[in-house]
Amino acid sequence: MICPVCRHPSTPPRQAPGPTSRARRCDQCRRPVLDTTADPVLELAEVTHHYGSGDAAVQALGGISFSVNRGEVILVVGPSGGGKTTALLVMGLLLTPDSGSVRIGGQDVGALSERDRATLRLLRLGFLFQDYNLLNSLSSVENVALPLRYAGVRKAAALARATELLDSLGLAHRAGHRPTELSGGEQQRVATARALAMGPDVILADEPTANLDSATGRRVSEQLAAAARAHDAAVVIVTHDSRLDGIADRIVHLEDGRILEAAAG
Amino acid sequence: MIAVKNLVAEKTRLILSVLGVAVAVLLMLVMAGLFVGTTRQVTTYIDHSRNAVWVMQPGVSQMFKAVSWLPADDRADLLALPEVESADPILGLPSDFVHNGTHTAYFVLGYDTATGVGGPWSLAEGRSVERSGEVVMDRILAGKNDIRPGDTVRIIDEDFTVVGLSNQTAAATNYYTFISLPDAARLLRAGNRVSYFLVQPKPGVEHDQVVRAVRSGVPGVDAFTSAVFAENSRDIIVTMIGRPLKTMIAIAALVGMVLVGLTVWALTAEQMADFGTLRALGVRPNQLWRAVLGQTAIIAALGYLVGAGIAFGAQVLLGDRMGDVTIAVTPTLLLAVGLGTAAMAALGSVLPAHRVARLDPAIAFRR
Repeated sequence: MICPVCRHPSTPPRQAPGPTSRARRCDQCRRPVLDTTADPVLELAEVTHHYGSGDAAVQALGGISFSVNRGEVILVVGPSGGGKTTALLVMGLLLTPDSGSVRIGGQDVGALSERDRATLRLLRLGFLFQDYNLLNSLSSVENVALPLRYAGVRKAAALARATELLDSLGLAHRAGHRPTELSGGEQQRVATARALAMGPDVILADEPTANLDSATGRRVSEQLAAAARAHDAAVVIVTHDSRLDGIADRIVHLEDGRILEAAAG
Repeated sequence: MIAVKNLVAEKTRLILSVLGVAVAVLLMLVMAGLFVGTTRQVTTYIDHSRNAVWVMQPGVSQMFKAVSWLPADDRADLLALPEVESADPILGLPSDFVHNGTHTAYFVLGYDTATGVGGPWSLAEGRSVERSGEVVMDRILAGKNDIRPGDTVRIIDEDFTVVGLSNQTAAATNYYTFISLPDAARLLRAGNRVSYFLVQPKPGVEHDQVVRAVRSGVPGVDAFTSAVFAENSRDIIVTMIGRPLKTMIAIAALVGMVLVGLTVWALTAEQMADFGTLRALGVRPNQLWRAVLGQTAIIAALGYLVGAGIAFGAQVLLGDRMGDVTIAVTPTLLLAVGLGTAAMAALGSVLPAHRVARLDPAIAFRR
């Protein structure tokens, strides 16, 4: 397989898919080498979750199931309180559901330790936040390179990858700027580059256009979808923004913790 | 990387944090330096007795909280010992120097002006005592009272002419003032008594041999080497001032630890959202600890360098301008305070590191 960071041919580990903290690394850039995974890259089966307990318990997810294939763009839509954010947290391994299974890259994550879940997040998932969540102390290129550096990728390779991604999103000229010097759209594109940096299987985006004007939001979303497809990554976007329907391959309606329907985008 | 970047990004915060640690380090160094300087300087008179064997009244083992009286005639018995080359008397008592209504505790010392043994060893101005009615005063005591050579001062209950000002004779609020032995005997109502004999061994004789010979050969006296007598005298001062100074050093260390802790806590609190994002992205808690510890180490190291630099620079610039108070910032002290700062930083970062370790990565979605 080809290392997603440096494009160097790498031999994947022969063992079964598992936590990647002990995986072998790319000879060129030191990125941990993962096994290639078949579709679906993300799969939720009968996932339920409640907040609180007893009479005060509130059902957030009532047994949802869906899967995401490589390169797919899925919108998760629905009213506030419908379970979208809870679903996103579950998909992002940031919340352990009460029941059901979550598989990422074919691997059931239910039994993983917090350390292995963190490693899986770092290597297989990309995140995009409503408020961009860039580190103000770092420049754009350093923000993008950050997950790579924490994964142990060599500095030169990490910066090269970050620069390439910023360039592909039209931000090469802003590489040395800090987030406070960027517009909202530029910040979200830097965040997109950061989400793509490790070559993830899935990018999870939480209301990525909420703080952008409609034109910018549309443009940034299209760039996200295009970039993800170009990198063979799936994208799950939780949003209220119906203007994004056009970029999606599928739309999942979530209400009262249940999937009402799934439609083609 | 992130530790340095986070710190450098907010320069004002960095400067204030470093200054906070620097103040704590400075506080510790000044307190500890005061302790070391005082205990070093306090035995200056004994240290400058040309390595003599001190002979004194039995039961007296140190100079500051005991009075030694010996018959002056014991000198002949000492000189009769085959190990002894010379035995020079000194006569001294603490007293109260009164000048223009100002009272200062000081030590009046009479010595044999013919040999100079026991007299001032370094003069800043003027000359040594040559005859009755003359006094050499400590330079700092003279300066505090605006006294110059040629002035008349009252020693006990007689007027003396200041003929010289001595160096290195002020120690921890004690000032040495030198007059002739007969003047001292008269002023101190000593009669035919002296306080100590400073004994030098014959060539080839060890000081310990002289001590043993004096103890066994001259009845009614005791003897110590300069080193032992100085150590005993220093111990008395350490007993007197050690506990309060050590308490102050401990308080300074505690204040330092709290300062470092609060600084790192505030720093970490400001970055909690960023740490949450990093946790969500998949950064492990131990990697964030390293960032927190890295920041603490940088702040502590810079604070230490600034604090130690100021303390060391002040010591060099001030020299002995403060007179009787000396702050000795020694390499050992710097090392000890350096280790103390590292310990402060380690302890100060425990709570922030714990807080980061327990951070819920889901907060990244709730900013």
